[in-house]
Amino acid sequence: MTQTIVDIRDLYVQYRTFDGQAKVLNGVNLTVKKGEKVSIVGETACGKTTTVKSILRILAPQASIPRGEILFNGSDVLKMGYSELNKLRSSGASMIFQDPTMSLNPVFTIGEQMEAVIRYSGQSGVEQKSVRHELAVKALEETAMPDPERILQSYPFQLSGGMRQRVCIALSLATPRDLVIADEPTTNLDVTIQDQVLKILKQRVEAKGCSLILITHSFGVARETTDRIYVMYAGNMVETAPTQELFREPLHPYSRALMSCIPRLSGGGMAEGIPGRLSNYHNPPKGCRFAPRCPEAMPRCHEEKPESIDVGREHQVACFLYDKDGGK
Amino acid sequence: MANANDKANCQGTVVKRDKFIQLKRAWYKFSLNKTSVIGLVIVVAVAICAIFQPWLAPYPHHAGEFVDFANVNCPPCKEHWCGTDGVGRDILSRIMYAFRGAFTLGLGCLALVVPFGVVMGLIAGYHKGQWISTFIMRVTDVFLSIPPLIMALCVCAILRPTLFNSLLAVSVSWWTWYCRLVYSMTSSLRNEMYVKSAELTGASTAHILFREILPNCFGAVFTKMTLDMGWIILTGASLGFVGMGEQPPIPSLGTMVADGAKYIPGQWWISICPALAIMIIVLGFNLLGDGVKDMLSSEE
Amino acid sequence: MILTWLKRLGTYLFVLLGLSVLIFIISRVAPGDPARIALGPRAPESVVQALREKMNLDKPYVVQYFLWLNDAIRLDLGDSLQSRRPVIEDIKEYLPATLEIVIIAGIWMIAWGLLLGILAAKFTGTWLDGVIRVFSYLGVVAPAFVWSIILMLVFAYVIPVFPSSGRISLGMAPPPRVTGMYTIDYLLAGNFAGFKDAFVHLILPAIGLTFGGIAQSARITRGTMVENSRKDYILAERAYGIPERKMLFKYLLKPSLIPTVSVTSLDIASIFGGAFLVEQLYNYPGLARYGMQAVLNKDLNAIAGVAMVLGCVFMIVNIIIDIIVARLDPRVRMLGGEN
Repeated sequence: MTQTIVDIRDLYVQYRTFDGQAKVLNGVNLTVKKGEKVSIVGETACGKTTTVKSILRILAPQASIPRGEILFNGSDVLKMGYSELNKLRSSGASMIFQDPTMSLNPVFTIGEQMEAVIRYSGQSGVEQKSVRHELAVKALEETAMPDPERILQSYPFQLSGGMRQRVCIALSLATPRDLVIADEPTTNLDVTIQDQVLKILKQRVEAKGCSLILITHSFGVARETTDRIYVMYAGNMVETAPTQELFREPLHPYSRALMSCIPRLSGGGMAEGIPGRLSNYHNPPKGCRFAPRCPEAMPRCHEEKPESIDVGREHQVACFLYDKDGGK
Repeated sequence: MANANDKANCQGTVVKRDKFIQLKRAWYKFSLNKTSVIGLVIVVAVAICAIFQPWLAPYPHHAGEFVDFANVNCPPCKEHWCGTDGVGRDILSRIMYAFRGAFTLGLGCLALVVPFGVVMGLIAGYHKGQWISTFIMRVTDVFLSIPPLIMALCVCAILRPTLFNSLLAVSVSWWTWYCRLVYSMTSSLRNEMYVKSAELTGASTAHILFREILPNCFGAVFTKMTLDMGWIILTGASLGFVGMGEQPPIPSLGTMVADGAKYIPGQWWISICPALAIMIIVLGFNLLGDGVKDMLSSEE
Repeated sequence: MILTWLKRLGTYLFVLLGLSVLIFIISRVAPGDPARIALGPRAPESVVQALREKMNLDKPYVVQYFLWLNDAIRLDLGDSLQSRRPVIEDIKEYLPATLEIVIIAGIWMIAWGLLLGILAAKFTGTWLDGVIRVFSYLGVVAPAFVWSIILMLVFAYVIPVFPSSGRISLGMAPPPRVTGMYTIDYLLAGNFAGFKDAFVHLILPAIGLTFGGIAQSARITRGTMVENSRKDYILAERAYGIPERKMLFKYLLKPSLIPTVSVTSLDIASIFGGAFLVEQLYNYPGLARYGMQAVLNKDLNAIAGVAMVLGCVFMIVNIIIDIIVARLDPRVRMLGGEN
């Protein structure tokens, strides 16, 4: 029985805006086991980032969590006091942000920032500057950065986007952690180095034996990097399955629609899009949030919210089209 | 024709909408912040006082040369809400008359400063990196190399003290702010696709500056103008305080504060009431300016 | 990096030269005949003509400018009409007094501006934020002379705790001149009673000058800090478990200080400008009051001298601010900023 690192149960998150409460997360469930690499796939603004930010409790101040629990190594993050929470942030989980041009402090050197993170990581010996420096150099070397000493003395603006993102990877793995969260780490990079950065990320995570949550809107990235995929739509996890299985047999109409959006080299011509738009969070559909766009919606879909049901080994789907036996 | 088409294409996001709905939307955004509405009310009230002063002021004839030794230094009371001054003139009436001068100063100064500063800023921003741009920006540095109020005082020193001359004196260094604002906007806007495509279609520099770039600067310039009305009135009051503004017997707020300062602390109202009037006008324009900023920002 | 600073030095020199042209234009191309003004309306024409030649007024403006600049560089700024002695002597006498006020006001302004700004940012949306916001509005809506009058009324008359005029009390002997700043000179002479007396005289005029600046920098500090606190790098640092206190005072404050420090230049400009009125009001014998008298008496040599000297002082202030900004912001330091 492998240990569960993160277990999100029925999480609701809403944001206070001028137009009222935006009910963004609508009962999210997510589990990540030790050493497992999981990805969350979905359109822009479907709540992927909100989900992972709530694990570290770094949501914007307008956000509130009316229901749900987030268990990290068994203890509920939402009930943690400040010191406990800080321990989680400094040694439990770390996050790599989408835009490497924004996620490093512009007025401190890479060295100052890395040493600060190491300083508060709770490791032994980090009170000494030399130890911190050594750890920082080692972390940079591990991400295949040339000349770490020079990098440590540089400011973020002196590095390229790819280098900055590698610094962020080094930063998040400089000290032992149970979980690394990467929020679209390659979206803002040149296509030519996206692959390289992903490979480094994957390799580092595997070497350190920690778990990974990778957010992406690309099935290609998810397929290359992760063992299991969560498909997210409008604040719900609509389907989860091991990567191979999901590609072989996507069940939820949304997953199927997304899959058909991937352009293929052989046959099929241009990919088709999904008609309609992401639903409005201020006044979301009453039943299944995908129902208004769903080609197979039934009257029931507009009335009730479908619960996630097991349809196979580690394969769950939240749709009324399926019953518990996995049949249609 | 081809040009018009191109323009429509490159500004493709401009959607024609009902003007009325746009206005309503603008008002909604403006009125979200209640203090902006307070600002608007203050500014409108002061403007009404300035325009209709002869009918609104309780003692219109007190604004000019008038003496009433029976009512000298009367503290605020029912007949004189702000009291009377050393020669028995009603201070409230004089404040209302002084509003006109303050408004004239603000509007006149903006009328001089904004077109000049904006054009200079457009030229400097569009030609950033060329000598003309460097020259214009260094000249703004020169004009700001001594504090603006000191510059205004120096200019006042060589001119006869009149309202118009104080207006000129304030304008001498004020244009530089508009130049710098428009410069920084233009130097980034010139890299936008619609400017590039206008360049490629062979549009003249004047067309690009005034038809493509300038409309995008309106919001920021208009916001600054609203805020600046307050600052100019403030600077004008400082000049008035040393006798460089509107000359007696025409009342001006700064002069009234200065005259009253001699009677402190006994007859405090003579200087404190016009001082409060200055604060109220400037506060009004500040609140209004913040509201305009909210209204024109794209953020919801 | 050295090149950046050399370039900047060139800019400073150009601006100084430009300022001298501007001042020359104001003082010489002014309507009226400077020689006639200097001698008064009753002087005979022959004497006026002689003075015109002595002042080089008969030569073309360009020649006049260079002659004037040549004199100005050698600190010969001509004689003052009011005091009938070289302007430079007057400036030497009065400048330290004004610097004393401006320095105290500057320190007071920066300290309070930052403190209130940080507090408002830390407690965004609470009553404290509201109080500071109201204060920020009040601070900027009244000119320095209005605040000075109110301060004078309250703290010199209603509750007489501070003196309302002068540099030192009547009957006090001024300290032996070293720097010309009385507080420092008294301290150097070991006269603590004198230091206290001179300091007490500085308080009201200095504070009266700072309301606008405090409000302005508090507003900007708060705004930048609130804006930056939503940035990814702050979220990232929070997500890495760096303690909140460390975040606030180091990782959030340092990038947020840059706009505040840049705008300090404008605040100090308004302190200098305000000093012209406030020194007059408090009858404080400083360069600003001297300049104000020169303006009122149309004493053109004195005006030109004061403007030139204050221009230089203000430029030094700006250089210091540029250096601080460069220390704070590596992009400015290494890339030379936007210009």
